[in-house]
Amino acid sequence: MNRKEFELHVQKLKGGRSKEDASKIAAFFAALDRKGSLPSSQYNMLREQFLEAFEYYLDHGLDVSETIGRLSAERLGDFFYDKSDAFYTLDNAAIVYPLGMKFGTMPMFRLSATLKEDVIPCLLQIALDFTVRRFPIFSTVVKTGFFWHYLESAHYVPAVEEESEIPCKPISILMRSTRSFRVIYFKKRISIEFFHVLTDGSGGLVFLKTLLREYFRLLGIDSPVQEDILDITEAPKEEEMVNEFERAQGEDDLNTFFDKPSLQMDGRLTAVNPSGVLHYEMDTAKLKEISHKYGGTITAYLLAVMFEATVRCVKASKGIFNIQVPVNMRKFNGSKTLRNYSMYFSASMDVSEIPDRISLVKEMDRQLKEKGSFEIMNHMMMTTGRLIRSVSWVPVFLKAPVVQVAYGYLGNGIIGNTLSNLGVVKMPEELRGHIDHFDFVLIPGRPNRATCSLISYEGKTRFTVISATSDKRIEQEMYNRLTEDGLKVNLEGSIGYGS
Amino acid sequence: MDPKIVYPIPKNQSFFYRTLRNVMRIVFIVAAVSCVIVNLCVKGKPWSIIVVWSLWMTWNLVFSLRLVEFSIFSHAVRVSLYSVVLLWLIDYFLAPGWAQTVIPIVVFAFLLVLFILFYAMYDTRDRHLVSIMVLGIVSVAIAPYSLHEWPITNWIAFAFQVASLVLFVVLLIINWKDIVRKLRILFRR
Repeated sequence: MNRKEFELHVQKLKGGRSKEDASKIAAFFAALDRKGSLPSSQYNMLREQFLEAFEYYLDHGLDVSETIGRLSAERLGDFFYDKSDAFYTLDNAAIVYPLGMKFGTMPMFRLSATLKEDVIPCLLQIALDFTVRRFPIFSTVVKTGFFWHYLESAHYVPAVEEESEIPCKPISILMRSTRSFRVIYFKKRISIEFFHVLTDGSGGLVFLKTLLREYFRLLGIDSPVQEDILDITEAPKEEEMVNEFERAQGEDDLNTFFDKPSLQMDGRLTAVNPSGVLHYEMDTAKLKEISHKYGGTITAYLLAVMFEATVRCVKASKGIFNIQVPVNMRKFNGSKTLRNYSMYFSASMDVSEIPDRISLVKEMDRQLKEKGSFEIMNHMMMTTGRLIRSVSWVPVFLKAPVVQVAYGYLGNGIIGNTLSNLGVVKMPEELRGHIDHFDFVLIPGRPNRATCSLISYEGKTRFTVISATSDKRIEQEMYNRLTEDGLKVNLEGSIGYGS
Repeated sequence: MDPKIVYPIPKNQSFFYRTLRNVMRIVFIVAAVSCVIVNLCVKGKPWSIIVVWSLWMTWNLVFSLRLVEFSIFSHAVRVSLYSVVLLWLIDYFLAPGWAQTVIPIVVFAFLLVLFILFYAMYDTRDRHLVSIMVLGIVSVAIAPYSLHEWPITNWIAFAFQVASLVLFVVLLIINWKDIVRKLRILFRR
């Protein structure tokens, strides 16, 4: 929409209203037209987005003052108008992602909230416009330096899209205006897909929750900020952008870094990744009760179920199968960083030695406590830091081919599956009745045939299997075991995307 | 299992580029190896080096595009660098005596066009600074080659070298602050 068309629309909005309202409308849109570094195409986009939301409110019976109150351009701050020269070095976990990237692959994850009502796209758009200023580190593009990649600020106006592709389709980050995340909606679901270079699941969840709070505010449902929902009118804080890996102290231990190669599940990898997504919705209390009955936590119980199911899905009758378990390091020191701050370990079993379920759950519980301890995770973090420092003088164009080869062997080759548990999501009382559930989707890296993820909200636990093969045995085996234990499982998912 | 479908049916995925890339990879490898073998067997001038470089150049510029930070500027700079090497290889191995004149002309042509575009695209010039600087540095770096017969002067090469140098110096003077800032970021370890 060019300026003339836009002004015609504003005239239409003013038509038939009182003089006072008409001048308020004119002042509102004039406030959007500030001088700044934004290219004209971006101004047009911003104007259109606000115009659409304005029309939506008036069409739905809101008066002009209330509409202006909700859409106040003050909430944009100077974010889109000021040229930012800021840049951010990648954290130690993110540093490998752009180096190891190959054509058509990208380590991504998706966080979704399914609401009780259909999403209103124009309000979601404004919520995103308002929210993104609070997360400057997400409003960046990946650039190539001489020794490492880095993130450079790109304060472009974001655009929400209707979901029409496979989940976590790689984002083309070639161009200046393409951020490393996307916000999409589908019926009642709002999803954010992140390139892992920006953040991990916990950081992403803070963004989603903050976006949801703003979206509901635009719908007239106010709620207070809480620990992991940020106040978007505040300036971003230093502690949210810190690379915690650099502050770690202690001894390194190379043994914590390397692992034996894992068996992989059967099934030909599909050209489309993922080939399907399946959510198992269970009652949290019941799941907890069953896990306790076996003598472990929910994570230990699900790991045990995954190992049992896996045995049916591997050709080899002997050999180690590793399930990667990410550990949120924030739980050890209460860090507020929004960047990657997770380490991981492998829960391992020889497929020929899978014991009965009670012993297996206990064994998983033991491994979770021992291998996921702060001491071991800290050793691993220090080792990662040491490895990174030792190659920091090697130019990126020499590092990239080595990392691309090593990533397959040292990264995905030593794991056969993943279980990432994001824990329990808490939302303010005022919003609880408006959100049905959350989902967490994590894309399997090649040659892994599947990854699993877990997230709970308001008494519902959603366990998700994301598969990279058309062989659906693992999903079926998991389902059989969970229902055998008396769990009522509601299944939701996608069609098979490829064969 | 009969899950409720809660995801949209995606658009048809196109694997044309991926398939083309995989096919071309095989074609290029077969062509390169065949040329080297035939060249070794028939002896004579090492023309297979030019073939291998041309295949490598085509692969990198057409079938293996950069995944991070791609722009017309960065791509043009890559094209110019690959072309300079190709011209030098042809001159050195097959038909000597002309590249000293041609290479400065080619580099100047790229530099001039990018220089004009750089200032024409005011909004986005910051992001192209590194690419044009690389080309500027290349234009200076080839001087010892193109003028190596000094003081016997190849006037054409000399004129184009001077013209490139002028453009480069103008760039440096106008963008000095931005260049220093960019270099600090680029070389951060």
